[in-house]
Amino acid sequence: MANSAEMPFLDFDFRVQRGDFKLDVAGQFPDGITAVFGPSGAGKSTLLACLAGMITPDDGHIKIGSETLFSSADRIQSSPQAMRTAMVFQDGMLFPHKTVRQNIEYGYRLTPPDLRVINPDELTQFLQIESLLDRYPASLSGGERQRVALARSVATSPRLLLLDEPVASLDIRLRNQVVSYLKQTHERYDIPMVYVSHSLSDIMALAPNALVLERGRAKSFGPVVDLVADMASSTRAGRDDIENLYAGNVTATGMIRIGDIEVAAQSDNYQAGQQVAVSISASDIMLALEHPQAISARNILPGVVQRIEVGEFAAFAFVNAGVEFVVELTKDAVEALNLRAGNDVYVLFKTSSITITAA
Amino acid sequence: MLDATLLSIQTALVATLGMSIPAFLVANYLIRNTGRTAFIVDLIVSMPLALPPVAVGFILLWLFGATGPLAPLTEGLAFTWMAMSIAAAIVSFPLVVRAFVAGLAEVDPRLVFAARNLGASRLRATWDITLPLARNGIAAGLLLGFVRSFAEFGATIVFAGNIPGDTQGLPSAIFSRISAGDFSGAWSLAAVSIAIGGIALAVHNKLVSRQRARLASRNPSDG
Repeated sequence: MANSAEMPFLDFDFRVQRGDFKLDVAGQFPDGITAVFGPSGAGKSTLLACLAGMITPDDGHIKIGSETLFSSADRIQSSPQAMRTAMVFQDGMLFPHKTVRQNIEYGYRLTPPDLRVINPDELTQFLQIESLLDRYPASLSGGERQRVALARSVATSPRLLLLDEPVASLDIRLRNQVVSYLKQTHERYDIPMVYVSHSLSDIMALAPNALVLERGRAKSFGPVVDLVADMASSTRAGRDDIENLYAGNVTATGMIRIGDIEVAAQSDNYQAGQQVAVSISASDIMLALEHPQAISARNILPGVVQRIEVGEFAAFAFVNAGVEFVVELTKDAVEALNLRAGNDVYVLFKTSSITITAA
Repeated sequence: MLDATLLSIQTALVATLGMSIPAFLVANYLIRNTGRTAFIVDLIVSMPLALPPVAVGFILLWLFGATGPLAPLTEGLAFTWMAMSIAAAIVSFPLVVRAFVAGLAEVDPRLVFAARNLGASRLRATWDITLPLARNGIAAGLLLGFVRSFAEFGATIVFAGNIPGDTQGLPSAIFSRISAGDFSGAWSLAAVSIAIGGIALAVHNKLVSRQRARLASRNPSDG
């Protein structure tokens, strides 16, 4: 959008008191995917509840484009059903007494016909849930449930999708799969998203920018890679592992194609052409300054160091090797190799370090 | 005997239907609010549980009586079958509210919000989500209301009297038979009471146990 610099897509600045907890936040989000990051209890869910009209702030404003959804000064409060900011909950919140089809059609039918721009049949096909349509939510797996929840919200053709830790209750394989679907959904339907998470890995895969919340206040707003850099200053025990998450395809030779590169992975259970979600832990990747000879790792990719962040407890290198890799190193290793931004390096990882999941 | 039985059934049905929406509104209010006002509302609607039904009937007679505060609105209401329904409804109300609260407690408020978020009005979300999910508790409450209304005697006899063919339901008819020394007549009416009340109560208990089973089977990790 040409004018997105002057006019943020989502603009909010409000305060709300809930018992002993006070949320006092402001933000101006562009119309892509923006993450909200922070520990539990930071106020992430309260922020989303306000953006969805579930909680009315005590004062301030919430605007989408030029439309005011909430303004204490002008005494405006849109009803939740008028907000059209569709929420995807952590545990799906599918209606247990309705089938998958009825769940998805529920919001679609309540959407005024002139605002329906997304075809639910096409959507269920895209999210690969057509085979689940006649089932009840209780019989779905965690990953299926979240895809149905995503479909139910997207089917209302919302102007903003609010994602409240939608992958937090899933294991790593399913997490990658659902993150991959979220990314593709955003690309296909062009719906702006606010993605709430306490995991940097999925934020890194989805959002260029993040608002960091701490104890009810906005601590920072900026590029997600800066947050990874901050993690170098935390002890390993005090933080999550960073996972590099990608969407890929299985090639005819059993390799996995990610963007412009191909990597070797254990793809025996997958067919050529199949879409997969790929994850590689930042701590499973090594860097070398020269092409190693005689080494067992099957993946040796040439790349360029974009950025190095050294903290008290760890260091992270951001390497462009056709796709961006975050590599976790020790301070000592950075010093020993004298690593600097701009260095040519080789990115090394074992076939078994790659986790792939059908997407 | 048939007259009294049919009158009791009619009275109990009207009382149950009449109090269903107010009881739902009160239950819905009580489950969402915990403050001082909620405490007082709960106390007021629960009072009939703590009072002798005769006293409830006496208060109603005063409220609706010829010189009572509500007299202009409800002239000639006392000593009619409508008075029987009102007396039964007031006495049963706290039981119905309690059963509704138990049913509504089963419904995750986030599901109701999810419906609002998808475009449903408050009424639509109540109809589509709250009521179906609380159906066992709602049905149990309605049956309990019917059972209690059907059995109501103390408030009724004071407020509606005991006029054969007019305001003489099954309990009052039993009372009259006993007073007249007609024990076999009293026994046959008591048998009808046992049959109708027993069936309704059995269905009610079935619904409550189904509701308990549903709560127990709920996966804790889904909460």
